[in-house]
Amino acid sequence: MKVYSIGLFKVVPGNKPVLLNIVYELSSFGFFQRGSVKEVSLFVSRETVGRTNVGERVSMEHTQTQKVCHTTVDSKGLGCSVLTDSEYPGRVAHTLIRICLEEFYKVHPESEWRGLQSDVELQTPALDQLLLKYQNPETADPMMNLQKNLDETITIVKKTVEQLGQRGEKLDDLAAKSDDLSFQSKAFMNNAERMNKCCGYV
Amino acid sequence: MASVESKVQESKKLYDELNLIFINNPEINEIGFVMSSKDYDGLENKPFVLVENKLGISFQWMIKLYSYALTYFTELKSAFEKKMNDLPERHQQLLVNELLQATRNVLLINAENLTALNLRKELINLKYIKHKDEISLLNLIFTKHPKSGEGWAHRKWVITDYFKKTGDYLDYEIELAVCKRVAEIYPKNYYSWTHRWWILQHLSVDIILKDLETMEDWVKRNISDYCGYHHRYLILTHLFNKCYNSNDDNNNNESKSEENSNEMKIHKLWEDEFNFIHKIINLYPGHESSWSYKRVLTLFWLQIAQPIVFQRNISTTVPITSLQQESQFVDSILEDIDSSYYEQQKSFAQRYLLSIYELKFKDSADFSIDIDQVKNNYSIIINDLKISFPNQLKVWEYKLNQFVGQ
Repeated sequence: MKVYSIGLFKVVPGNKPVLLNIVYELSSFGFFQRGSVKEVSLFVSRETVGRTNVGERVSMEHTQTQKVCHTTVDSKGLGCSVLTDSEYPGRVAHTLIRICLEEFYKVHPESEWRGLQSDVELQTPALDQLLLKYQNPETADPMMNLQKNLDETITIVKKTVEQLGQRGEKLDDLAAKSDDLSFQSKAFMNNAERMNKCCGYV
Repeated sequence: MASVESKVQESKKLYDELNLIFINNPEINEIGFVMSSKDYDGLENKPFVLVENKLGISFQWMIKLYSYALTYFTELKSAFEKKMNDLPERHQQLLVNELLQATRNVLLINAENLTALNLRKELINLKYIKHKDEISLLNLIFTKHPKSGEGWAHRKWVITDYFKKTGDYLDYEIELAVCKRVAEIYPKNYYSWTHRWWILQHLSVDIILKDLETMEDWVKRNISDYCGYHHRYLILTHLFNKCYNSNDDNNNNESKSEENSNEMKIHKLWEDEFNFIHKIINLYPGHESSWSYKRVLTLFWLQIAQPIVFQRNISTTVPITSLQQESQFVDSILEDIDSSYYEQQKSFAQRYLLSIYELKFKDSADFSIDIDQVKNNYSIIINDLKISFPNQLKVWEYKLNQFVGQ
């Protein structure tokens, strides 16, 4: 039950999403792995948010690293991604996204990032606190019906990497081309799959 | 020949550099292997990087370093075995110092090297290494090799040896802390969980109870990892057995009231645990681990605990659970069709109820249950599972024949 990162992007359909801010919580990784985990997190977040349609709520399972990337893009083209492990309740992750978007707008109005073309770091102090608070979904969302589908107006689309990709592209190929990932991180991503399985035959 | 020599010289330089790093930075608290040192200090091809007391060893140089360390260690070891007693005392200490460095360097890269570990055991016996320092070295090794079986076995030996020699245990908080950290960086680390329980067994009930509390938070954060549940199960059954077995030994009237209060405490503990797992199942539906845990709890209580408790004091205790209660709980889950992951949740719930039915049926002395009613319910669930899991048809039919045919 972990939230690894919260990222905010400017999303223009057809273009590479522009990073506005990203925060990480990587205490569960060894010191020398963190660099690679950061890169992989940013890569997965950027690829997922770039394939999310406006108004859509997506939870994409990334089987290779056993992480789930929750994303949404609002009508102004501001996208938010929350990367969690596979047991984190999706509904809570999407609540977190909604709050993050609100917090971001409080400090950075649309005009400030509308014209940006390359990655920046727009400080949003609330994100760090939210990231820590949401490590435990139960305290973050005291409404006990965490997983209930009560609010049917919010539907979460569950997608796999293949469904999300366009024209049959695979995440592996994207990873090979990506400049978010160093050589070390690409190796890390390929090994992560092997490491996460303790029983190979299952 | 010159090139071979220069290669050895190069490897020796690496080896000496590593030793120097440890002499200058005694506070190193984490090790790791890195592809390239570039990300950390801008220079590529450096064999070692040191950031905030964390030491990274570059893959590029590792083979050279390891093979030199291993060869040198073998030389030192044979010198130690053949000549140690003939050496003057000052030279003995020098040889030991070299050995300490060589074994450490070997183990940092390959923690499974049993020869190096065993030599260190010998040095502990000869009082060249303090037990506490060996534990610190293992803590460092585990930051990179959390799943080293030999490393964990060595750790256990060190603790046992210390106990044999002093009659006391080393600081248990260090042990619990290392188990926690290691379980974080490498989930489902059975070595660390086994070690944690092994340490706890020797400790007082208060500390065990405190660990139960710690684990509550851990389980909530790792609801699909069975390790945490199993740890709780070990604690709860241990406390139960301890309470009820010790009563058999001294059954005099003086301690009767104390016994009673202990029994009430244990009873309360188990009752809380049932509530706890119900909450988890409702809060995070569709996880098999939480259902498995519920099953072992119920089985233990109905099969082993309840008969003992009833025998002891019939009037005071209210049953924690019963077939009726369990079946009501499962019904409440099945009715909750709004729950997400409903299909998974439903199938886990049904399988769970089957296993409870099977248990109660074996225990045919319990006449309070209506056998025909149970058989009927059993068939209904089986039929439902047949529809949900047609690929497991044979299993369900086998189960049905076994159960109804009895």
